[in-house]
Amino acid sequence: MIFEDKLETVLVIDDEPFQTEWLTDYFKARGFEVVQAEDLQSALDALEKTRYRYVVIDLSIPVSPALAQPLAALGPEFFKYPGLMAARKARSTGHNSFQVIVYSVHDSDDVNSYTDLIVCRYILKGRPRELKLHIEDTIKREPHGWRSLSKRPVPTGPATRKSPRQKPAPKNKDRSC
Amino acid sequence: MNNSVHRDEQVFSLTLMSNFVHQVVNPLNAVCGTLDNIVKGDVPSGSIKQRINASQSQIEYCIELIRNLAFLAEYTRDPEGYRQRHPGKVTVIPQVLIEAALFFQETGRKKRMKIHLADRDTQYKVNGDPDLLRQVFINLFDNGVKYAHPATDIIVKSHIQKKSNALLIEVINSSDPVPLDLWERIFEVGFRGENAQRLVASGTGLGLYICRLIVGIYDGSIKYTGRANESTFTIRLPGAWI
Repeated sequence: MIFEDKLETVLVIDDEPFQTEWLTDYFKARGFEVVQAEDLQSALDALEKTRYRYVVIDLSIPVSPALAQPLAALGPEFFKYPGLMAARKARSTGHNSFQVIVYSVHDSDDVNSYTDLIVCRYILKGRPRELKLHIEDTIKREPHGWRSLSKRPVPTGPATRKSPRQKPAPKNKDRSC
Repeated sequence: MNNSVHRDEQVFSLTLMSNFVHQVVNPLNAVCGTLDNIVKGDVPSGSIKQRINASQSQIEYCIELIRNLAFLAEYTRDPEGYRQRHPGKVTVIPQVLIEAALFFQETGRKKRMKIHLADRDTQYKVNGDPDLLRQVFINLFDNGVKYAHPATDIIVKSHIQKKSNALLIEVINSSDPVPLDLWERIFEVGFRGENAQRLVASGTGLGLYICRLIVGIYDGSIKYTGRANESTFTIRLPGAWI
């Protein structure tokens, strides 16, 4: 499968307009275009042939009846947190672990286990700076296995630093990138 | 058996609380993100006022959710005592309708929706606490803004039944109707229909339940009827006057 690599674009998967609004402001201020998907089907469609610089995924997104069976087949945690299916899709289409961000209110062991399994970031909603710090930490990283990056604008925020409240990166994170 | 019922109640309470936390943390997270963006200069200067207005409406929305929960806790603990503590107040219906509608200016704008009061001038009055009855309309408008089709209006019609002197208030939105067998169930606590889950991923399942509790305090009723592309909530409050 040949993907269209949109290095200047971020995919935000969330059905809450106020969430997508501040994320859009944030990414646009750093020179990115933002594409939005408001439900699981739109998210899967957006990930079908395209890879993005970042994919930010809310776990609680609307699901059409047609996707209920595929979700159930994946397991009860997918039925409860449909965004996991989008995270799975993003990781299976060549997005690196640092590019796929599960961003959710739910502090769940199931989600923790699954994001460890597919090796992606899992950041809890409540302190938006944690998400921003992850972006600032990784904005200069070139996705492994992608065509060469064009020169990216450097973020205007503070110098990169590690958030003490971020979920620690899995030990095998770098192997998968 | 008792253990089983107790466990079911606990699971139910935890589910309700989980939904509630999600509904409150999510908008507050967006407010924090927005304010941080403004402080860091990440919002275009022409959009700052709109972002602050949007943040304000999100905070107000959270306050209403917390009020819903507080009402639920207080009322269910002692329904009769609650009735006795809230006697003798009068609600001017158009006034609370307008106040409730103002909550949804910002979210309505995003969905290109408006709340239209068919009659703003007739001063229908009923016995009841305006804070509680405003909450009923806030919950119904919230329901409409979430589940009605974008770029449609929510219409509110009121009239007094001549025979009974009851005030009938219809809140009509353009949404896919709820299946007939669920018309009663949508007022159960924690219930969220398939349509609701398909359109909006998260919800407390509290709003309509609280509407029914509140109108019940004043011996009123609320019912749902649906037909093609239209949902109507009809509230009946006895003893109305102008």
